[in-house]
Amino acid sequence: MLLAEDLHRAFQDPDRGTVDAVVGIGFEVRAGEIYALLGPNGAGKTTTLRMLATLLRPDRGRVLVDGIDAKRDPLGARAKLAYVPAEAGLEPQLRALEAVELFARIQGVKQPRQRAQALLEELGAGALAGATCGTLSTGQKRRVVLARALVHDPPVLLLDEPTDGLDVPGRRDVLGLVRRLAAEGRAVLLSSHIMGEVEAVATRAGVVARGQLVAEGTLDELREIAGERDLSEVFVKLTGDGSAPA
Amino acid sequence: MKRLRPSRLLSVARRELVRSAAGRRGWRFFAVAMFLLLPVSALRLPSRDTPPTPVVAGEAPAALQDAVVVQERAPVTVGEADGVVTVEARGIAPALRQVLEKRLEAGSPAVRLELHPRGLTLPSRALFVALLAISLLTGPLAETLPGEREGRTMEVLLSTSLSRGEIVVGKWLAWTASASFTALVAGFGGMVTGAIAPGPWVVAMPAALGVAVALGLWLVRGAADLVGGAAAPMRVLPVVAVVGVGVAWGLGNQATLLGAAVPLGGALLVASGLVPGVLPVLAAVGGSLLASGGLLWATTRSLDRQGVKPRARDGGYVGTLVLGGLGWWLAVAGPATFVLGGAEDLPAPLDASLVAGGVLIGATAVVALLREGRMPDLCPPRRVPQALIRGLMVGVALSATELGLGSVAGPAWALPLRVRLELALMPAIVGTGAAVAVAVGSELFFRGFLHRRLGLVGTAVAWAVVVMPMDPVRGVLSGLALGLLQQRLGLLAPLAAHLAWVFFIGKLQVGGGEWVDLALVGLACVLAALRAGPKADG
Amino acid sequence: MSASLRAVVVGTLAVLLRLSREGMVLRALAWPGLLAAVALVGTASVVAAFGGREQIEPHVALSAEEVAIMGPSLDEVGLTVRLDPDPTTAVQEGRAERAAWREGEGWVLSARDAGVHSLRAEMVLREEAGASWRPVVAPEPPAGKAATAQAGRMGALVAVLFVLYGVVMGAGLAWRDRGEGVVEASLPLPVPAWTHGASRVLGLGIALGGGLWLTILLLHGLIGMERPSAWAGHGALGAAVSAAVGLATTGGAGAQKKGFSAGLSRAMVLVAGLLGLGFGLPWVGAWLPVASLAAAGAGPWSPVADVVVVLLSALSLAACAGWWGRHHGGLGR
Repeated sequence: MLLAEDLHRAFQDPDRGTVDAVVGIGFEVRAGEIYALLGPNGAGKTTTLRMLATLLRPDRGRVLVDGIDAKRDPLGARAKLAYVPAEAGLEPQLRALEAVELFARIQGVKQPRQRAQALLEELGAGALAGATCGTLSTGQKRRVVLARALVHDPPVLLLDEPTDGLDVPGRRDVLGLVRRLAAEGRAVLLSSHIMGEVEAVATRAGVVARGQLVAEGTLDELREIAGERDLSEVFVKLTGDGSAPA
Repeated sequence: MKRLRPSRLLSVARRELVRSAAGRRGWRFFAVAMFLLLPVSALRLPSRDTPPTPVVAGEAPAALQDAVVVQERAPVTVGEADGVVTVEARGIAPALRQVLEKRLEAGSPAVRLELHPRGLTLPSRALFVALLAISLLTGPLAETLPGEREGRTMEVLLSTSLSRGEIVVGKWLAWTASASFTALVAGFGGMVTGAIAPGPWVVAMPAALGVAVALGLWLVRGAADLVGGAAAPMRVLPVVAVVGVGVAWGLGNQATLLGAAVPLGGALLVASGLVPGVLPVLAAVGGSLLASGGLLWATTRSLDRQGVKPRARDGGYVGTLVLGGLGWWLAVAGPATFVLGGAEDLPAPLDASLVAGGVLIGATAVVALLREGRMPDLCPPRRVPQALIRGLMVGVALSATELGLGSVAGPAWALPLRVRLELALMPAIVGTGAAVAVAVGSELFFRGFLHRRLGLVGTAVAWAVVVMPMDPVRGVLSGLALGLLQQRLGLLAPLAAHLAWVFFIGKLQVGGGEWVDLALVGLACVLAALRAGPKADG
Repeated sequence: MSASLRAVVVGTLAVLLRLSREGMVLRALAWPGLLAAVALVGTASVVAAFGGREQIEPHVALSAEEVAIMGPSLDEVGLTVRLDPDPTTAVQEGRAERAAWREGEGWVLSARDAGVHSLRAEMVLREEAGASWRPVVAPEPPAGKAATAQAGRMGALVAVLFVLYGVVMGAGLAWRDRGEGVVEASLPLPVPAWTHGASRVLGLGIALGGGLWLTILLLHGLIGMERPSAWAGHGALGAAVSAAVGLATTGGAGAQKKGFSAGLSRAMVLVAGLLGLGFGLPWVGAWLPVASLAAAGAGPWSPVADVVVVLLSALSLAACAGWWGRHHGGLGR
């Protein structure tokens, strides 16, 4: 469903010169699977996600979204995916329903208003339809953003730190939603540095450090590779990062 | 502003400049201002001393033929009668006068005109330069208090031992000094090329910039982010500069010192070299410093109260009603005040006023509806014929009265307004544009927007107050008729009724008195209220 | 409808919807027109309330000797004769608005202005002196015409204000959309990235242009304006172009690091530079968007220059949309 092959991306930094943000990352996310991309801050998770979402051109490598080559046909690939950035990106002046409807209309969805309303209700945000986005809480925004991402019924979902800034009930709700979306047959890729939530939802995970994929597999396989039971310890050992994850 | 320690002030000013001008950005403000101000002050623009060739209409005598351009629609007509050349005009431009005196009087005119214009010349170029210079302050001003808030450094700054006054005055010092330095360098550049003479501008320019920065700080005192911080000075500063110069100029014509003492405007006049003498310079500096002090004090007080100015609640029905009503009244009845004020040649043609009034009230409604996110129901498709027929009938019934042209005698001051309104309806009958603008605009506003919140009676009263003030009884009744139509059949029906009304109003005046008129309005109400199934609007 | 066109239309409407809910934007758009209109009507009302405009009786100061010669003729054309011991200093010293005295075979007319009353006095004096030419006072123009020149100046000032608003609104929209992640969220949509830039430019252009049209319409409805559509048209194009400049200078990824005021300053320099160009070199400025507004003070626009301004404005807006696509398009470029 989503295939990344040998992705490379470097940036020019005025102070540090050429910085290799992503070096040869490759993995596959199948339908119905939740794949977690783990790694400390600055490891290259977001850069990878942005390449998969066709927002950044890889210097090398290939991305296939539901069989479509994202480099050759980026618009075709975009029609098959939804990208939810860490920042909500909701227009603060629009009402929740309008924000979702806007995306539906741009994508040519039939009966956009009804579709937007139905999705908001499905995600437990029906009551927020008339609320202005600027006044919503982080958790409420996250629901609206998810509704907006799903408005064209994409088979691939890319979530950048989807629970960032959420309280405990909000986190639980969003993770529940992610599980449901995968259960409907979507391929879900989420980036995170919070081990608890990865353990709760992910079927497989890839660990990224210094721009490289240092380990990949189910959570049990990762434990085995690292020789540790506690996922936090697994994380530290695999990434070589002293700063303990959440 | 109880404590203003010089060392602290300087440290705040230094921090301000370092913060917003670190590294290469340090040259930004200076470079930007130089790029604009130096050419304006130092370049000597091509002279426009050579007068243009005069343009005249009529038959120019042989002596003038090669010295003038003849055009059919020129404001000056030249002719000849009994051997004397006649020049028919409302004023003779200096270029034409020069030609006439040279060609027809060999340079020694029979009547020599000696002009002693009253007071000062309005400094259009100086105003333009000031407008540019002050607009440039927008960016830096946005970085001061709003920039600190957006960068979350405001709370840190407020928690230090610095007093609020030191923070505000320090920032003021920093930007007044940089802006003044830049302006003075540009001015000296002009002195080097000889485009600007040394003069009181050296003192007046920093005074003007000081008060502009102080006003800017006061304007951004409540802005939460950079964009909000840039928008307020951009909106207000140039207008204040223009108005300030205008006021200073007006007062300066009466008493020079008084004009010079006007904050900002006076300093700009002095900086333009229009008010000579030492005393005006002192007055300009004094007036501007005093105003700066007041504004800085007010800004400091607002920081004491802390926090961001609470955002005004959006719109609201009453505010929109006032704004829409004001738009309509300013355009349609406003010009009548010119006649009251003695300027009989000032008012615009009625058609233009009607279109403006209708479009303004309609635009207010459209913006209000967009803000609300709920559009009015135009009409259910299957009821369109019914809405059109019913609307037409109500419109004809209303136009068969003398609605709004009132038999109620108003106060004497209202007479010109009433006459203007009466006259305004006449062009509407023939002027399709005006009729459509008025009908669509006011229906969209009253029935489309206000009806939902104010209800039938409230909207009818508001309608009578805003557009039918001369005859309140019939105003309310007609509002009820149109409102009932909207309730029953959607917005299309009152739109049709209103259009029919303004088209036929002059043609079907059968009203034979108060009672007949009221009976006709009653008939319109009944027609509108006739049962037409469930209500269209909720 | 193609996907790109649909995206531009829907995006433009969304931008308009957002702008209509920004109090800051609405205040900015309403402020110049309302201020000017309320000031005009307010002034007239105050004058009316205090008993109407004091009509200064048109007069000419003459010495006793000259009154005998000129008095009846001046009186005939509606000018009062005032006796003054020294007409040569009467105007300078503020004793009269107009004065006349003999000088050799002819006359000297001293006056505050060269308006209609002075023209009338000159007509009588020239007749008396047997001059080879004399003025004839033309009939009064129809109501409303008198105000057109003044209203034109107000129109220019208002249009320049809207151009400056364009810079701040363009820069502000780009800055906030990047800061709040709106750009990032909308780019993965399956439409070319230039459509997002185009909808922002068009939305701002329509909002600013609409606001300016309404303001000009209000001023025109009050005091009448010569060629109101020319002021509104050039102003609307200038405002749209300046909004595009603002969008381009603060919308880039690099601009976010440099700070808002850096982009704003750059945009302001460009727009103010264009205005300065129009003011200083009107024969060049008349052909360029934004500059054409300042250039109009030097004379009327020409139809050919108007067409060039429209074309160049359209080109600038397209360039801004294209720039947006190139800088934000990712794989879509």
